[in-house]
Amino acid sequence: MSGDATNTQEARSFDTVLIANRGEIALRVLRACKDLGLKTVMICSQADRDAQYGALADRFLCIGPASAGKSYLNQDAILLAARMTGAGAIHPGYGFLSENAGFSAAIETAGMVFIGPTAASISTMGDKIAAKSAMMAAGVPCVPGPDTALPDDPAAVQAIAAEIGYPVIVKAAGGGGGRGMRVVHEAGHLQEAVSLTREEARQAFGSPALYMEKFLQHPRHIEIQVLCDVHGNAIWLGHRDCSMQRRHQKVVEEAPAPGIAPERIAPVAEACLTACRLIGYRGVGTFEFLYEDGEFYFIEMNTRLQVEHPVTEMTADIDIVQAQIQVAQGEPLALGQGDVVTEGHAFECRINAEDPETFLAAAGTITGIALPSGPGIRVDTHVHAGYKVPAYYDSLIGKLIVHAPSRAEAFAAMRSALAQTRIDGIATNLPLLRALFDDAAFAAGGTDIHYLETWLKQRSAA
Amino acid sequence: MSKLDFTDPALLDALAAALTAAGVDGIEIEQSSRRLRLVVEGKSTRATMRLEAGPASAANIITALMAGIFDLETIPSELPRTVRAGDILACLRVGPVLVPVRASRACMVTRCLVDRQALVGFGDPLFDIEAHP
Repeated sequence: MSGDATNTQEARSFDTVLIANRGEIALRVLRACKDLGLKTVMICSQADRDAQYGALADRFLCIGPASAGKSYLNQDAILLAARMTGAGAIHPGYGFLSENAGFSAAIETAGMVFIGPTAASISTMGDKIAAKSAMMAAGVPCVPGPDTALPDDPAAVQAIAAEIGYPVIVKAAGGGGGRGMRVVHEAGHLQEAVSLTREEARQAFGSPALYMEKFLQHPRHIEIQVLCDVHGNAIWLGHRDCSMQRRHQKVVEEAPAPGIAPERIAPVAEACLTACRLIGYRGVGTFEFLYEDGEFYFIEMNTRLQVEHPVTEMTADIDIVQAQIQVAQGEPLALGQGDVVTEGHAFECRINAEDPETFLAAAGTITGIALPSGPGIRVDTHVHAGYKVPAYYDSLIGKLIVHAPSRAEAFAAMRSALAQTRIDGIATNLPLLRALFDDAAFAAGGTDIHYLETWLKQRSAA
Repeated sequence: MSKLDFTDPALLDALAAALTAAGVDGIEIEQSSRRLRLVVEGKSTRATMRLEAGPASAANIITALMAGIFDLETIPSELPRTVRAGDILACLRVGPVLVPVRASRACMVTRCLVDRQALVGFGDPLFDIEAHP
């Protein structure tokens, strides 16, 4: 058929995919489409119109100015581009509009396929209170605390905190990315923290709704990758450890999470699949947990492809993006849970165009580049010598992924791969990544989400 | 009230028809951060959507204000051609809607850079121009 999608659960065929993103993930999605024999439309902003990767698409169309709000976040312009090019489906990548329920709904209403979950699923999981409630109903372990919004009555709030036990964390229901949250260590500071966070939530997220949870002191960040079709099938593809973070931004990810016994995480993953079936989830998704003292605590579900999906692809030997597209076409999953076998260990380093000391974004022209290659090494990037890194977007310019039979071997392979990687002309975080892979505690595995920030403070003080 | 889909050609066509039937020249609709200004020109049931701002153009080039099908059929003319600021040089067709491409200043249009009926993107060069003689 033509580019128009047949919009039913059983048959949602399309032959042209519009990729509503930029950079390495746009290229990653394009490759998956090509491998599936699908035509591609890539959109871009004025700042990206000279990007070489655009030539790989069947159509490369500039839809607006450099500002993301007028291009990659401009739903009207993207829908117009899809209509004019005959695209039957839109892949949002990650970031930008990938978790925008309104965008998902607008695409489906227009008779096209959103390669991602339904608007209802996105809405449910985007509201932290609704998400927690859904998870508790499915038996997914959650952080101690009520699955309802905090009441206005200060005495009632004090009672909830006392029942959870200090320290507690007060969070905006519509928040994310580390914003709209405060840790409270004692009762005397609770009321002020609630008032400040409520006002911040009102201004930043448009809703004053707050919730409260137990604050975990030294947790790790563990994720479970799921894949669901529209026929009620759901599988999980292993787990990842993304604890190496700075200001809630992941720097290095690995799969599997070290030191977690399969029999400990399998029931949690099964509960995640139950939750997916309960909310009618379709496509790829990631359940994020804090993990402390052998216990898992659900924090949120990302209803999209993750930046770090390659480490799961390397260990589970599956093309997650292709599977995501096939699910969007209405196909049943090609794998059952019994077919999923994870092998070896994988690391991913996010290569950012930023100063390794100050972390300020570094736009400019790449004058030279050398990337590693060989067995078990993968580089996902859109940059090349002569590429101009624009100042308008996220600083991620590439991902270096290695896979080896054991964690120790993968760690050594990443250290070697980083030594072979060179990007000239702009500042990057490569020196930081190299230093991290010389760190003994990281090499041992199991560092918590505060480790990197503490490590950076100690380095700058030395 | 439900949100209107400004990208839906059928909606724009229906709005244009309603405006024409009512003898109204135009309508401006604001919806959250979006704004549509629909102006009916002449007695055609086709509508012309005017955009408020376009990309910065190089001094000697006129660029596309938005993505669309480059439609020169609606404004037949020979080149080179002297034009005044605001003159319509061509249109970009988006479904039933025609978005005019206007001269930003008085100039000589020397060359068309796009094939007829080609899909063009925002900022794509459409015409070479020279300063008014």
